[in-house]
Amino acid sequence: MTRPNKLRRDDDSSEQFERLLRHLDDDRERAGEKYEDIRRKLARFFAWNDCFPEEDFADLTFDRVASRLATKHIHNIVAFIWGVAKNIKRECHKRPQPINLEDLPADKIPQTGHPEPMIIENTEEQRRQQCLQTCIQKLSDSERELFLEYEYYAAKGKKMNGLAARMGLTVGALRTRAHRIRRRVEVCTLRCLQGLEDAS
Amino acid sequence: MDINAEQKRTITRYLLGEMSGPERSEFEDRYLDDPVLFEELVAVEDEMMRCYVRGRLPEAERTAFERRFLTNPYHHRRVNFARSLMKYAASIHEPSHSRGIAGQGDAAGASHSDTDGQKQKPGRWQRIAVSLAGPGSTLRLATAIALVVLIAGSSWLAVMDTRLRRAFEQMQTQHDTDLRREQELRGQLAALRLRLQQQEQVAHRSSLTIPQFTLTSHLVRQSGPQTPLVIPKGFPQVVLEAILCSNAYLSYSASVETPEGRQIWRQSDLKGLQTRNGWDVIGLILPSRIFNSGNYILKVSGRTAAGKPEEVDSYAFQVVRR
Repeated sequence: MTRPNKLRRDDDSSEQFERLLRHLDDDRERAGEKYEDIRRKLARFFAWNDCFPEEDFADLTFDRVASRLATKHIHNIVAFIWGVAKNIKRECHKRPQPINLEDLPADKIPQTGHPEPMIIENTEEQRRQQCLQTCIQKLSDSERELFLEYEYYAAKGKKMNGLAARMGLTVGALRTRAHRIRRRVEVCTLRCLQGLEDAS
Repeated sequence: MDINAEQKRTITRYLLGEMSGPERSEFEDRYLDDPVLFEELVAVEDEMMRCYVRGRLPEAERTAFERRFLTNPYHHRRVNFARSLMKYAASIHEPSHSRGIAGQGDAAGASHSDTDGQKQKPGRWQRIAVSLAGPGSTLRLATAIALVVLIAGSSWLAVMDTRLRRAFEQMQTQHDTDLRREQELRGQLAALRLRLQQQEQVAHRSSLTIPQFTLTSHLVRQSGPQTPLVIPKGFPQVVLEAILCSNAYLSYSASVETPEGRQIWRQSDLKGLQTRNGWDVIGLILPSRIFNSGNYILKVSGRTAAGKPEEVDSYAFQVVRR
């Protein structure tokens, strides 16, 4: 379970995080699953609304919700989280987004007329492949098999029924699992590319 | 979890940022409440990225996708991730594919199986190889090779036979077509020869019979009145050649009028020409029946590059019919 930035940094805030989990479910394990699920949805919600880095905005939402729980009783925690998320989205749209030159798409980077962009892209692709490999290795065997098979099938445009049956899942369950793993691998890969995750 | 077409269109519009503010907000409320719809949204987004990377998006959607996803660095990073992931997954399942990824895929594939000690299922060819190994393998191997050679030989002969038949049929069809074409061309050639002879005869006759008359305007007229244009009886056409001060217009229009201003003939889109002695002229072929004995005025106007008509010159001449 990944704690939000603020709650992670501040040990005194662990009580706030525990309170948040208790609001999500009395059972801690189920609460953890719900937390991860909402966090994933929050990240997508912010990404679809061009609020980046989306994970930071998801964490910011939990930070605010957790701090409010200390002083206010919330009846429907999920609805409250989404209400906070929508407010943060509005704030995000009001402020200009910082853009790193390295993050600019290739056609927006000033061209020099030399072959550097191609060299850079090749190097980036190699780095991405290394990071991807590292992140995929971190998955459990079953997760890795499911994920890579799913991605291969999806890339080939194949029907998932056979794969789902082989995995003992419904197509819907297979897809949801694969997307969750994909999101984790994607976050891990992006962190790895930023030097925040070990790529060795 | 099949997505119906309407739902997919709605999701696509949301992802491509084509919804209005209120519609977008309403759709967000829906998917935040509906986990199934949320998963569909994620699935459509991933599918869209895969399709884009594979170059399979329809033109309009591709343009919208690029506008939305490639102009934002964070989205762009996700597209790159999708591309790399596709390469990686392909390199695991199709090792030959990995050679295109600077050797990374091979390494990835190797470590994937080696480091984890993960038991991979043997492929089709591996299973065949295993079945041929073991006791009595020599006889089985020889039988298998003979069988393979027999099957391959038969298949090859069948394929060659089909190809030869098809080639023969094509050649025969081509031969028939060529023959028909040759006959057509012979017929056309004979008709052209006949036409040419007729035209040569007409041209020869015309050069002898058509009265020709050169007109000079008052600007270039040297002295005295012009001699009259004599049209003998039985000549259907006359040729007038009007000398221009300069050939400065894109095209010319000419009209013939009586001294009373009644227009009796007109022609447009005439091109200026230069004669051997360096004069700029326009040539006109007029039917002789429009003329009686008397005076006429030929008026010439020119069209400028801007398409504007301008009066160029006028020529007075006398016609005498005999």
